Amino acid sequence: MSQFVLVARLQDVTGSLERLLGLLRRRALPIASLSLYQAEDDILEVVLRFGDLDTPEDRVAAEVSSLYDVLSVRRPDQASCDATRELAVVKTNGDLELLVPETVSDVLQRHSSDSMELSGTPRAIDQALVYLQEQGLISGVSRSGEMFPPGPHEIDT
Amino acid sequence: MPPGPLSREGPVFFVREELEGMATTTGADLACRALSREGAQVLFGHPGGAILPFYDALYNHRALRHVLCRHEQGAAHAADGYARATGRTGVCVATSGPGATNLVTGLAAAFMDGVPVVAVTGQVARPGIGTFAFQENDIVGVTIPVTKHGFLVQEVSDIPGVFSEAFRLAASGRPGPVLVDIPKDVQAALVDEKTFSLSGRKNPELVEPPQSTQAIKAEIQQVATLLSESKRPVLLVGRGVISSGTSGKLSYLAERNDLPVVTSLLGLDAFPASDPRALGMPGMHGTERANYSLQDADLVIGLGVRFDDRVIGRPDRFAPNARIVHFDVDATAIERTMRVDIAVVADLSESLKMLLPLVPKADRSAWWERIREWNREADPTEDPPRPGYRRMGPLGAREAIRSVAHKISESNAIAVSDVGQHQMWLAQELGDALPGSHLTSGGLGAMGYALPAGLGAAIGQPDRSVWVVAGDGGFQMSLQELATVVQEGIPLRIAVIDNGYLGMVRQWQERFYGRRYSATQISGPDLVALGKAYGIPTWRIDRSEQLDSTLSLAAIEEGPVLIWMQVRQEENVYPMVESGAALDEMVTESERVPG
Repeated sequence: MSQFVLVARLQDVTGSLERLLGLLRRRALPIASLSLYQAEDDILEVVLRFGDLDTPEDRVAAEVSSLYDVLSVRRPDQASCDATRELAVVKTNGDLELLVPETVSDVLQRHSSDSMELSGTPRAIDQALVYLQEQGLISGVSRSGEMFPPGPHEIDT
Repeated sequence: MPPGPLSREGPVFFVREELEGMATTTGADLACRALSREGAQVLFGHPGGAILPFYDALYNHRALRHVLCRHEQGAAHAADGYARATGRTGVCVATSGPGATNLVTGLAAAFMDGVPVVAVTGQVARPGIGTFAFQENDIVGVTIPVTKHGFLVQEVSDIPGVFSEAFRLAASGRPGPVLVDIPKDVQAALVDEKTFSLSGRKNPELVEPPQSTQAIKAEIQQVATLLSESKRPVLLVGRGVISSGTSGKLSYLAERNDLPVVTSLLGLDAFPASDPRALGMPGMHGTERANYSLQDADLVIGLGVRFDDRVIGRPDRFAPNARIVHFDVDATAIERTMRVDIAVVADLSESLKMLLPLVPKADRSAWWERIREWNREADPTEDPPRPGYRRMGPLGAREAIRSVAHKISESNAIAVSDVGQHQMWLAQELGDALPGSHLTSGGLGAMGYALPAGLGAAIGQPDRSVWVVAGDGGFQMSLQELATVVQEGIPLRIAVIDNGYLGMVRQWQERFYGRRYSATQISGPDLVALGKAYGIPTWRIDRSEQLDSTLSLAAIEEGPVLIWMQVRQEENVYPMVESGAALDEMVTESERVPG
């Protein structure tokens, strides 16, 4: 699979995503995956991973940059492109007084009285779950499997 | 204030009592002021329901001349013609729904050829958007592929900034059309005029930073080195030279380094045809010397040209021994159709300014000797009459256009052609033309372009003569604009080349489809009667011996005038490079094998 990835920051205004996707359609640029999230107020960040391209990568970047709504385009380094992440939802045993080591806190996104959400590399998730298991805190786990792209919190691989 | 309940009129920002004692204006008035501030002088448009508040405000803005076109497509083409002829941004106006959708072809033509146009459209009031309201259409969505950007103005306070952005965007980089869609309630909204400053941009972050010339320094140096090493260089020139105002620099470069200059259809007026270094137009109907020079070159330098399919023929066989250099302000134009060795992405004015001091004087006699061998005339069957003699007999299409082209050059006029055979013949026959003096829909190839675009050009350049040359097919697509020409008193000279066919399509049917003329024979109205109906002096000619005298009479008429040229029916445009062939595989009339 192509590793060509672009991260575009665009204005969060009506039609900006349509314009971006319309451009990709008109140029027949194959999208392998796309993720979108709110990076800042009024700014969206779109991570585009392309399939096999006939078009030179510089031209693709130039085409995306040419859109009025696109504030900037960057090409993440290869390590970031290679990274995957996983989400895990953990059902815990009752109300927790969370005092956890970095193994867990590094991947902990949020928690409630009876659950926590973890996000990180599959290996980091494994390590966190091992700790929680050893402490007898887990009553159930749901894992997403590997996902791309790294998303808003880039992963240290 | 959020939008009120659904109603045809829509909400306003303030009730009148709240504004007592305040200097109030409307969104529509702000739009008119913004247009004036941006330098607009002429609006080509057609009113309708959703743009009524704008037209009401326009009533008070007498400095903005409104030209009532008879169809919105005509308005868009007229704005395009105005822009090409003046170098300023053209403006067209339409109502919502069908009015807006009728603009689309005109905007697409401007988009393809890089012409700055701002289109202002009315939209249904905000509460009606998305409800299938009467004459509602998502015109911003519809025009995404054919505009540089589209703004749907959702707040009256955005109007000044949006217009500022729209004009900046239309004219910057590779110019193009920008759409501003204003809901009727936003146009009608009352605002305290002191609240809104007309200065400032909508989003300062989006203003492009000044271009760094350092970024292209290395490429410029490489180009200079390639030029000094090259034995057989060719300049390939497009419309970017005209829009960047660099014709003078081009002439200097060509003269200093003794460079052959090939001009694309849209770059014909970038370099004088009479210059000894001019090789004419390349591509499908280009000259032999232009096409063969490109194929034999060891260096091709493209200046503001798209390297489009009609110019380069088969990409993998274009200039097979040449290094390719591409100067363009538009990064997305680089390698769109073929590989290049060096790309210089910058405003041509800046990049040529950097290049010229590095270019040495040169004498390329050996290269010119070779180029002079490629001199088969485009029309070898049409021997010119001996001096003192005049051709007689049925009028030929190319012969007619040659005479029109002569009149155009003689009067330093602006030539506006439609699309089809006559377009190619005029391009082949046109003499010297100042930048902005040859207008045609080159990229989109929109039939119906010439008459309204000529109207726009004539309004933008009232002191110059403007000739419209159209085929009988294209003319019938926009002849309703004759009424606009008459109402506005525009002294256009219109030549209709009538061969009773959609000629270029018929030519392809003859050559590639075994003469199966499917749906290409076309009848038309009696143009003398039509001219009379519109009050336009009209001549009909069908013989060679009528040509000179009629053109002379038409040239001295104040205008508008219409010349109906009924020509031989099955004349073809040659030379021709067939689709998918290399440029040096062109055929001429004498080599033609009828299908």
